[in-house]
Amino acid sequence: MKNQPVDVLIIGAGASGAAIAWSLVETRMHILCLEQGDWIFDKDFPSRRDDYELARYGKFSCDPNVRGLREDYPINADDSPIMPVNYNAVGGSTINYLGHWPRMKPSDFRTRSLDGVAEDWPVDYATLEPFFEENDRIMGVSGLAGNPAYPAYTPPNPPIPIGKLGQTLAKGFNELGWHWWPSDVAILSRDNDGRSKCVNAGTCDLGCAAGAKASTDITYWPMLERAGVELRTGARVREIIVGDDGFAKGVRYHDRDGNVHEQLAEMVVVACNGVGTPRLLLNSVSKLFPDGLANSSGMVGKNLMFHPLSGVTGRFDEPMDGFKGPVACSILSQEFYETDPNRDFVRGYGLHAGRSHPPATYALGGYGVDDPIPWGAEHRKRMDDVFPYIAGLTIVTEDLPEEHNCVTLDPDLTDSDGIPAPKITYKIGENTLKMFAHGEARAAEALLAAGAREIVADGGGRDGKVWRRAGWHQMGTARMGNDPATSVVNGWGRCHDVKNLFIVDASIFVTAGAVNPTSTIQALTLYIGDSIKKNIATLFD
Amino acid sequence: MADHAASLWSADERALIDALLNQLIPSSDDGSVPAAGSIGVAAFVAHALDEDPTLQSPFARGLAQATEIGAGSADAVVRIETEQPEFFKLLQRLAYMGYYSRPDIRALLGLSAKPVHPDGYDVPIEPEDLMADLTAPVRSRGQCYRDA
Repeated sequence: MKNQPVDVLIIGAGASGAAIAWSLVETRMHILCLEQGDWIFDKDFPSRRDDYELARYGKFSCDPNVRGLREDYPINADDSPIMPVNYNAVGGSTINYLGHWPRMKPSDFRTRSLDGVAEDWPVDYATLEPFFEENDRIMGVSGLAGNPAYPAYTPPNPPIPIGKLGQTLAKGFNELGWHWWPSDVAILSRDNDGRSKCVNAGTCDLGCAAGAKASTDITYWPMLERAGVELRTGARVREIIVGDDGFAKGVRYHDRDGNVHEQLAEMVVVACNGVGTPRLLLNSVSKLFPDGLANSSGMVGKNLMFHPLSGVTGRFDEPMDGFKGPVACSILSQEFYETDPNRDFVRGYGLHAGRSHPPATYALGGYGVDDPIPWGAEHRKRMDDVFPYIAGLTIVTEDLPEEHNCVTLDPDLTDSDGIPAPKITYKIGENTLKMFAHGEARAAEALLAAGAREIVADGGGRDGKVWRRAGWHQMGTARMGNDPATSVVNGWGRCHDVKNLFIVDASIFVTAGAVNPTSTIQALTLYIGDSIKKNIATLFD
Repeated sequence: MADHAASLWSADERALIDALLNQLIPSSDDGSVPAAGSIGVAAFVAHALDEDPTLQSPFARGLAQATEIGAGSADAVVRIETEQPEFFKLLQRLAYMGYYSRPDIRALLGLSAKPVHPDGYDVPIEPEDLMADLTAPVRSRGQCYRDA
């Protein structure tokens, strides 16, 4: 089936797909977005059900292999200790992300120059600053101005409560003289722009039925639809088609019933995240691009980065009420974020004070690990004497790009339309393991300084076990750079090999930083949109 | 759900499952928090097996072995855990899920019995002066990022 050609075709309606559409709206080009998922409405979120916690282990799992919905594609992660997690709907993974919103920092864009590792980005923090600000306003970010860990900026809404848990841990960090700050979150602390403020339900990962958490289906998309951007759901792109002239012509996609459509466009933008994007490029094979589209460098799928994380939990004397309030994050310490030559690792990590779990999640091992707490008499003790009193810190490390960590196509596994599925090959790096050791010791120190009676082997930290379901942040698999021999896109997201093909999701990240990436993904996307507009007369030269 | 459990297992099997569940999640000493078997978590287990038929035969195999061992003591349960790990892990997981997702149990642990939306929890936003006091030591140390 053939459809009316469009000017701009965006693949993916999540964080970056929505932001690029918004940036390009003012050009009055005909913009179409194809999304494999559907709209999801607040009435469908599990937090309105009595047994809401169970959804975490079923149809609202963050693991697509557990959900197994029609719009999901399976991911083979047998060769990775970390499972990539996501959501497929209008809003993408902003539907079930936690809305934790720290920006990447100035040094994150300059790791080669400063520390001799990875590569510098072709763009820097100062360039992105106005786009961070614009995006924070649209998403509705809450936070406290004056954080000395960043160049000065003011979040548009006041901070959400850090709660008893946050206040307690803050005193510990103060005791040690370490940095901490209330986390920026894309969660409303007050009613704003037709959306309601947070009700502290603690189920951010199950979709926010209050509409307080900024998923792009309730931030960008209503504006985009009013502005005439066309959104086609249930549309799963099989491949990007290339003409004999080497330009992208459009895509072939499957509709809900499996019918194959051809959609032509003047320009194609890929916004499918760090696993979906390399998968699509590798599936787009042609005479001109036998190794996958835009892959003359061989870098498509390479340098996959996550944020490997582990945690440490302390037991306090008073109840910490950890189940009340947004899951991530209450406060964030960046004391150990920057490189310190006195340590045995380069770069650094954040200590995140996420809130704790409701009881079923706690008993089953926490958000990241399936490792149930003991049964029997010990079970009773844990639930009565530990569970109410815990507060923990997760160690969120900067992952360095390594070529052997990669996304390839699985030779056998496919989605329900027969499109080859991604396979993840990933090993946690030596530098990261050293950070874990350092971070776990520092986290324990901070918890004890905050008044923890003891460090306990459960409650999300789990003896320093690396979280399996930690693959929220998928970065680096189509990286930016000025050199076409070693990078996939240029400094403003245009593929070196295909001049009318752009990539805007975290696959273009050069480094990972040690912060949740969505804030930076969207700022970078708005910057790319701005660059497209500035270069519009010579866009494809 | 209860009817289904009754049709899935014999009375002896059901009694064994209840006994096992009581061992996995025992009641509190004062009895204020009930044990898992005593409040019918077996019905949840039956329902879960119904939802995912691939679990049924490993469960049935393990149950047959467990019946021979019995569940009268913690030692017997340890034997089941050692000799029938697949069955045991499945039962443990379903026990925790079925038990802790119940509104009545949630309430006993200090959480709201109701679904968390729309009401959520009341957590007051800290007054500005409290945040100013708490963050004062951090601010007084000045910039803590590298210029790049």
